[in-house]
Amino acid sequence: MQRLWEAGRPMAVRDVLEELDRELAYTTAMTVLDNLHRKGLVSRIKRGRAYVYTPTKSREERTAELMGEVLAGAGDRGTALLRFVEQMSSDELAELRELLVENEASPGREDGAP
Amino acid sequence: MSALVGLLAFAVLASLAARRWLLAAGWTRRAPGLAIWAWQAVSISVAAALVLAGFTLLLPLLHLSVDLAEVFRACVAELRHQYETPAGAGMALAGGVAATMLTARFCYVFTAMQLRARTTRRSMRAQLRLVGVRDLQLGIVEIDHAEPMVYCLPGGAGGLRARFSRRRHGGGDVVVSSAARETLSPAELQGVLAHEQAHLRSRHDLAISAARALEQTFFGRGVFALAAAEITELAEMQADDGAGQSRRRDLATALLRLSTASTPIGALGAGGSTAAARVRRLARPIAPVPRARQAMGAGAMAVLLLAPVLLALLPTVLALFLDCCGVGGSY
Repeated sequence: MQRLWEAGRPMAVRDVLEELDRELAYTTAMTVLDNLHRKGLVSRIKRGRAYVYTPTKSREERTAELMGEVLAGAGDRGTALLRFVEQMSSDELAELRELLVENEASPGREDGAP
Repeated sequence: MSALVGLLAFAVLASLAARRWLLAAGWTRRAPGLAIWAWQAVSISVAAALVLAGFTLLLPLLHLSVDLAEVFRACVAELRHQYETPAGAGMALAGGVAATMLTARFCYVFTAMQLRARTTRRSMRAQLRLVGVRDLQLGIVEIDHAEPMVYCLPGGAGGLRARFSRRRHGGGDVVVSSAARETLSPAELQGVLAHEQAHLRSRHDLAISAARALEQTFFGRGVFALAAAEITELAEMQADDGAGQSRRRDLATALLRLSTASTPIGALGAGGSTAAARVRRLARPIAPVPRARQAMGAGAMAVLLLAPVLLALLPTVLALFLDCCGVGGSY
């Protein structure tokens, strides 16, 4: 997927193999691309005798989808994941900004200070 | 009848005690781990009391009463009499049905929750394999995104297997967005990672899941709703402590930087942010719980958990002292 995204153009199995760092058999690469196609991650059209593959969505779109799931998951009160800090309202944000200012005003304070 | 009364009274008293001594009590913020156990003990004992109340009503109608009488060498008729209520078989059946349904409801809700979580995690892992970059040195997966975010995904190697793995944490991944990585200093990032790893080690996801399942089972009423909210908040604090004393300050600044850098949702606050409470709490050092206190806590929890069982068996004990023909004593 990395190579396909980076290329920005439809690639055949041959092209992908050229771009890869490591040695891979043609049939292996073909199988992988075929699997990606079955999963709906790439689309393909026939050019001559071989297929050329294109990612169905850009990397940014995929990442945004993932982030969307994370944000939605938190709202659904599911426990699939645990976020470091939950999304908060702008009121809570304002309170934290104040704390941030206070915090930066006293950098040398010991942890034990009340 | 004494079982029913005893169990219901226990449920009410335990709930009141939790509200009085656990809810927003100072000590819970100083010893969040112990507080989580306490809330769990209270929830389990109150749930057990309510369910047993229903089942003990059913006992006179079941053959189980004969077996019970044999075990304790009591008189069957007397035993049944002790568990009966004036309302008779109708109420007994109603109680039994309610208890069965509550138990079934909990099993269903909890299992459904876990399955949903597993599916979500699997799909997320697949997406992470595509768009994420593994940083083996830090032990994180980084995703390229403008919104700062850090989260942990439990159960990488499969829930049960992970328990026996030699990894530092309970098998799982910590995911960091590029924006978060840029916002934090290396020390702050270490603090955040330690916090997330503490979550994975303690399997907070299971504790929170179970608490929410109980809350849903009892329709969001009573002590169960309180327990779910408290356990969620305490888990964050326990993970904060889990990062160690040396990283405490970095963790506080990380919390401030990450939250102020993120986009808010809505304008109205839910009444005091957890994050602000955590930041203030992190300004104080970790308060270790003295052995005596721990022992006391463990003792109290053992009592709480045993009480419903003992109360359920109380009529059986009473039946022991009374003869079959009512000759032996008065009641």
